[in-house]
Amino acid sequence: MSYLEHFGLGREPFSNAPDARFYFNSDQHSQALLRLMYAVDSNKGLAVLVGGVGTGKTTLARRMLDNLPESRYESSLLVMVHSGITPEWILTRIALQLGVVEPTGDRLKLLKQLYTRLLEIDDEGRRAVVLIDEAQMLQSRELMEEFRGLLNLEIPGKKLLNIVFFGLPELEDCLALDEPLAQRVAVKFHLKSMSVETTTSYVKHRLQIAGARQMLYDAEVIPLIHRYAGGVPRLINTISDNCLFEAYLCKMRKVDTRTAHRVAGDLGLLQQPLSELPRDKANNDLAEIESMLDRLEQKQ
Amino acid sequence: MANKEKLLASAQKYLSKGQIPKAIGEYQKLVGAFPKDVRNRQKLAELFSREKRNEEALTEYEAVAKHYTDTGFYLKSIAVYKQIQKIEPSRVDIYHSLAELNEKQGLIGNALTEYRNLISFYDKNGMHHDAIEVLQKMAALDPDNLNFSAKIAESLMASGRNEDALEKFQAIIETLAEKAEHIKVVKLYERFLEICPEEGTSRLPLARSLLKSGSPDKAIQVLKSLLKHLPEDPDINQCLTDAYVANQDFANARLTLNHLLKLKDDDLDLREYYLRICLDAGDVDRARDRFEEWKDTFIHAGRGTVLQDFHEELRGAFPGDPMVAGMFSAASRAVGDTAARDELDVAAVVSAESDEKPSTQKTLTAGLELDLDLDLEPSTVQAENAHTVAAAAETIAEKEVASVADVAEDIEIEIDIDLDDMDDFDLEFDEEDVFSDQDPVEKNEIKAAEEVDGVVFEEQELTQDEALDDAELQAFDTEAEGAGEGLSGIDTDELEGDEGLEELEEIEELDDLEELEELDELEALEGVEPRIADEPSGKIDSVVALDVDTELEEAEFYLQQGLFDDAERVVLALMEYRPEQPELLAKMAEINQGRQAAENESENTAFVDLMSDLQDDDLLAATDFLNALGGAAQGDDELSQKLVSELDSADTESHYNLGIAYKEMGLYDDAIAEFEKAAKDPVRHLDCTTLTGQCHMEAGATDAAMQAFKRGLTHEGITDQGRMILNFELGMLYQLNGQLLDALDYFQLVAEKDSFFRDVSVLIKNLRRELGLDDDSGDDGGPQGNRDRVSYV
Repeated sequence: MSYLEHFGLGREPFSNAPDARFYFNSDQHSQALLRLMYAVDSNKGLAVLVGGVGTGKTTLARRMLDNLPESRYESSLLVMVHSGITPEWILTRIALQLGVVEPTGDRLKLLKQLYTRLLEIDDEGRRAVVLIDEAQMLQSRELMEEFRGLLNLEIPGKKLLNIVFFGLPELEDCLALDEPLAQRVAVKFHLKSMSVETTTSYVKHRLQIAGARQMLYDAEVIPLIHRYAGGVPRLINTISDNCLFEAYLCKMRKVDTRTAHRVAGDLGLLQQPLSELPRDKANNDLAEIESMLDRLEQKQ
Repeated sequence: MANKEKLLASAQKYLSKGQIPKAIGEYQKLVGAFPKDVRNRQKLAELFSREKRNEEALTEYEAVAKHYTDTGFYLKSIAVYKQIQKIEPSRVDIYHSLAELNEKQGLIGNALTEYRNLISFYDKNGMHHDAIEVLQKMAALDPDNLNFSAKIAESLMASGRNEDALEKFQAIIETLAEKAEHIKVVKLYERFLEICPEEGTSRLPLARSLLKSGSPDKAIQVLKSLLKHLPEDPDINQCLTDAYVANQDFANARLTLNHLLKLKDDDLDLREYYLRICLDAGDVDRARDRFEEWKDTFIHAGRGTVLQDFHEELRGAFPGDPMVAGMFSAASRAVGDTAARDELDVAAVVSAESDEKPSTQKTLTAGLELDLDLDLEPSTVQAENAHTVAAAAETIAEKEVASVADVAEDIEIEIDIDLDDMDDFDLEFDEEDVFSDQDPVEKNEIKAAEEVDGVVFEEQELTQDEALDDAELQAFDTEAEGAGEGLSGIDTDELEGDEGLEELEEIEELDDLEELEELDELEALEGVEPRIADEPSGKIDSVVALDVDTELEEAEFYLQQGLFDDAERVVLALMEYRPEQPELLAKMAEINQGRQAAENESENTAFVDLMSDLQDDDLLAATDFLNALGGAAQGDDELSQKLVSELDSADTESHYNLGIAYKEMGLYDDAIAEFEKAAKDPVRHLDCTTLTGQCHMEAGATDAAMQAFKRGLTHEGITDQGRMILNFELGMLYQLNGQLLDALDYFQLVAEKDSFFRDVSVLIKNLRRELGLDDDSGDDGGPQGNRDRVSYV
């Protein structure tokens, strides 16, 4: 019997894999989405969403994509997976995603093709939107200049392309590589870590989506999880998931505080709760935790 | 019974097929067979209505309404009557029925709304009598509401019953004035001005309200108009004085008050007001003179503190002035301030203690009669009052000197002394000594010896040159002996001063009359009232000069008020004596000029302009008084809301039930109106918000429904349960509207609290599947349609 069966769950409630089913519409995510949609709907050109590791950027990017119906938007989400990409590469990919048929290898002709396509989209009464996730990987000035060039594709009084960057705080450094581009950021939103109350709602939400019939954590456990996770959703998921697994091993119906402490200890979080760490230290540790979580996920 | 079910089933079958006429046939059979089952009849009525067979629908509805009324189901009855009203809006009897039923149910606000609708109908059709009857019913429902009374007055006016209208209107104005609702008063006059005759005082409250609401200039305009018909009305004059004061026009304020004082000479409040105005206007000379003239009456009335207040101001204006100092003595004596009196730099020397407390009233009549009234009241007068007697005697002496200077012929001095308990009174003036030396440069002494039953006034010494230069009269010693208890007062017992007369006749021989004429300016003389009407021809110049000054003031008052005839009359009377006096001629020219200007502007136009000005002002814009009734058909205006909240607050449950009844009958607007009223009760708030949203939903107004639900979510006192209900309703609404993602969000909010609330889990599951969010194959969960939109670079 898996722990899913033990707790009567239909699916894993705290997987860190992107899953729109588990989208949790917290107040700040709702506010962020509102502003990003405003930027797109009013043709602001460039909008940026910045958040720490695991704060829900990717989730929000996907949520935004869901909010852009094809009837009104020609939209695409590009997820940067490595930092070695070239300007031509990204330009070609954007052209393809926006519907340019057989993009040429010549940069200038490609830009012409893209411009023609953008005009078509505009004629259809739609807006062209490109969302870039993990945008902190765009680490060269050339790339930034390319995006600035794209933002210049416009007809009098109207931009033809809207771009939204989602990324870690390092994204700010990338933007600084091209000051004129940095100045074109029309909307910027910072995702912060969750409060205890939001964490409680978040955990309940995930459990409910997973098919839980009851609360699987003692009331005192959630504040503990929040404390050890520093309010970071991804860490909350990890701790919560491990707690459930431990409770399953102990044949418990609910996670208690003892289990939570034990899990935190196993994850190396017991001595110094993240919420009490200085910011830089916490960031460094977050990187370590990140790699540790990656390892854990690989094990699973 | 089986037959009934069969008929119902048959009717339902036809209805489901949309075959309304056939369904009607089945319901008609049902109603025929089971006439007491009112539900079938109601359904039949609905079907008739749907088929536009209005007459038949009305017949059936009325039967149903009557049944509900008879059985006490008033709310249901109201709902049915509303249906009838919808079909036939012009049926007056339905409004009556609805109003009465609402009244019976305690829904006063609703009843008033129905009555308003009726009034609107009656007004439009000129049925003022009927409107008045309805208004009287409304007034009975809410007796404190002046709007109804105002509307009654308006209807009376519209039906030509102006006298009744005026009576009603005046009662309202009185109430409003008591409540200091001045702007409302002005607003009301805007409507009722035409029934207020200018000849009376019916417009006086308008002036008062204009004044109180900060428009003294407009008040003056109204008052001047009133004054043309009632120049002697004290209230109008009083108000006009106030208006001038408010307008900082102290000159006209004083003139008006002067006129008013002629009408109410003994009114100490007015006298005090007069003094105050003089001081405010900076006319301290006049204030001092009048103060001197009136001080004793204040003391008698126990209002010495008033004198003291005024004296303080006068002393500032006339430092070291002996007359003012004398006033101070009087003032401080009046309030018993002996310490202050000790500080007094007494100008008049009091040589003897006296129990008399004289009050002087001087009247200069034709032929130069000098009347002297001395009220001596030993019971109240203290010995130190003697100096006042001295002052009075000084005044007399001054008058004598002044008079003498002007006397040409037939000089007669009358000294009126009122003695309560004295049979014999003898007053001697030794004018011979006084005027023996006629050289104005040299000292002249006036010695007067007065013997009043043993009381002797003697050694009245007047240094004439000082009197001329400084208006000071000194060394007037009075010795009163034996005044005692028996001397209570000296009043206007006329005495012919034969000896005095002889001596005064000698004054004709005075060489330097011009110099003596300066005595006209002596303050003591200015207080003397002239009797022009009785004057024979050939009066002495001084009297005429005095009259001219006084009467010119009166003429000026009339002129300022636009009362040109009166002004002219006064000036003409003066001109009889001094036809060529330039001042009079100038005044006459001024009067003619004013008259001509006024003739160019008719009175009515002035009033129209006034009201027009008022309408332009923010004054009237600040209130929508009566507008609510003006737009009687609009039952949801501010006033109505206020009424409803005031009258129906205790009956939210009835509104709630009536709302349910309306909703069931598809009368969504009415239902929403009732739910809004009932929502004032916190217990019912959530239910009403939900039901309001549902009504909007059922009426197809999804935006309004969303707003209603969201408004409910922002309510302060909302509970978790209430929030869950509204979130669920919003989820349903968004789902209905095709906004599935939003619907999912709201359902998830509900499920967070209670995943077993209604069928929220099922709804969420279905929505997820529909949105492509739920995927049992275990992929990354991204929506199917997004896959080609996501690219990894």
